[in-house]
Amino acid sequence: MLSKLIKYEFRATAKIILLSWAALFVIAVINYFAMPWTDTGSSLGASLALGDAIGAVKGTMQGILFFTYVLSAVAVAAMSFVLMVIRYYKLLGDEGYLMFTLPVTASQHIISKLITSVVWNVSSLLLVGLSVFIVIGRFDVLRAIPEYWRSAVEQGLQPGLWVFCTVVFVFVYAVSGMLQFYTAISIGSHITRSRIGGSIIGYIIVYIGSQIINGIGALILIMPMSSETYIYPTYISSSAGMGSTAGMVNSIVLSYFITFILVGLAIAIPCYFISHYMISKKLNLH
Amino acid sequence: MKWIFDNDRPIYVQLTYLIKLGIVSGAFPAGSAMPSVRTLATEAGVNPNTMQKALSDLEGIGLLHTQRTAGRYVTEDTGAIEQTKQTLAQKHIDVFFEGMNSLGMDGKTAITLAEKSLNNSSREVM
Amino acid sequence: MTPLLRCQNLSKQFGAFHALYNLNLSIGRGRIIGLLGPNGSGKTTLIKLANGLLAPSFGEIFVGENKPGPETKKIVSYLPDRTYFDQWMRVHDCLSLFRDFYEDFDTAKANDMLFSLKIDPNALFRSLSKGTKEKVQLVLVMSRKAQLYLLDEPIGGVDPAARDYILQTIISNYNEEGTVIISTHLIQDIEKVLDDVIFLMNGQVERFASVDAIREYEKKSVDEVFREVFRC
Repeated sequence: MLSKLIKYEFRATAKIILLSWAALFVIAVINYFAMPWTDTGSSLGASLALGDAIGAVKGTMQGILFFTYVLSAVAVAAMSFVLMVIRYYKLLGDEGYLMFTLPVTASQHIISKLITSVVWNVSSLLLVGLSVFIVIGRFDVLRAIPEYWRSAVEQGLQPGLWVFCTVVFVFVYAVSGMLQFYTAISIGSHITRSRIGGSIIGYIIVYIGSQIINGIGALILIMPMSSETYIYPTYISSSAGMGSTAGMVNSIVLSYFITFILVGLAIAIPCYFISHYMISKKLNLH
Repeated sequence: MKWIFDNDRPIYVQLTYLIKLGIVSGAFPAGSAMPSVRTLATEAGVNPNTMQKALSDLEGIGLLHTQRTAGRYVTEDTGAIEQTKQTLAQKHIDVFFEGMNSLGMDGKTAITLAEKSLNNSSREVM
Repeated sequence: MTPLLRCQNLSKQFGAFHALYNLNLSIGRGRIIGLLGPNGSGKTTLIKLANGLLAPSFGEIFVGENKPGPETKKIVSYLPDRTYFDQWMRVHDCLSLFRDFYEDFDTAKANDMLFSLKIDPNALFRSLSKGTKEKVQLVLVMSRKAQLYLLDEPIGGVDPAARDYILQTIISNYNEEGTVIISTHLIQDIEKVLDDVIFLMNGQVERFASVDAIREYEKKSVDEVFREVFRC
């Protein structure tokens, strides 16, 4: 059942998202070709000063194109996110009459939408990142990464661990972000007939809750710093030892990561259970 | 078969009458297989349980019978069918005389009028 | 024999308003039942409760052995009073959805019905007229071999020919293991199709009797009795 729901979710959303990606790609490529237009170092202002009409036009066009690119990049990232929130919003509307009469549990509904959201959102962000490289056209930067990696390791840092932590962090926050909206909408739909008004109220509640948890997380993080004991156990730090700069950097970075990942989970888990409770035991479809 | 119903009598009672009519008029010929309950119900636009009840009633008075594997059949007893026809006809006649009576005409006058009307219509047919 | 639908002291309130109050009902199999009442009498609320789209405020509702949940949803086929397919779907996508999620869905039958209604499976659902959308949803609901069919105002907005088709479909779909509950306020058209009727008044059962019993006793059609009972 879950896989069928996921398939359905992807089918409902693929068209728009893939179209937006295609549009972004096209705009990025156009920008790549437009980049050299002011390569000679002359800016728009300089062209105008020199009375170089063609240069001025090129400069303006390049500016517009770049602006369009930035707009599309933001749009792609935002659209994916907004689309996924709207999917859940619709679930508690007319589409709910279809969805909630399927022989499917509330968890399956939430999880299928969550998985689809995370896949689309993270992919969209990656694609935006990729589009930056396309615009710059400087893929040689990528080739330099192994170099940086090696030198980091030599200095006692742990890039592998950090990359892992970043990946986990991104996923936890992708999940947590969506779940906050799901919870807001679920609470809203239960307390009032007007879903929009209710969702706003719901979001305020969720926001307050998440800020409290954030606050607790920050406190835990700051306290050890001031009394000079770190959360991060020393044995994981590199052979450079506790006193070295590399060791301290590792500890600090890792403790931040761990704390915020835990904060993300501390927000995500209650959100999941609240949403689940709201749409299974307290469902009020109008 | 025209399935027309009144509003103030139970449907199964009316169904029993209508099917009797069908048997007597030859719409459901003697000895022939009856359509399934569902088909009849759909055709008549009525609830299948109600149709079933009517058909059971007719089985009870012998106009229909069920052959275990083959379904329902109209009786082959043409005598019984004829009997039913007579009974129904009698009812119509009773209604006719009642109606004429309420107009203040006696039986004999009623019959004379009826004959006249019959002669006129057969002349038109010819 | 477990009743197919059972309500025990069932109450549902929205704020201060009681849509249903202390409702007790027991419905068996193999019946076609009309759920009759004026607007606001609680018909839709009762149906939504049976579907698990609402949670009771008090009391209980059972479909077979279970409270509404994934198990009951497998055997309940629901036709709501609104359209519920998403923008992007074509008619054949709607069929695929039903086929994917409901084991008792008969794809061939659904296709036959669409064909006889002259509905193009390739059409975008959102482009169909309101009446046609309702017909598609009806086809899907009736193509399931469910045990409990809950039809909320199925003949409300449709033309007389479509109404006949819908009633015919309900009759010909009938099976002794299943029960159909039709909620409507247009009694005259469907009276002959019903076994029993439930009069719902102010969230309570005013009566639950067979159509023939009412006609026999009251010497009137159920429609006429209804008008008397619910006279404003």
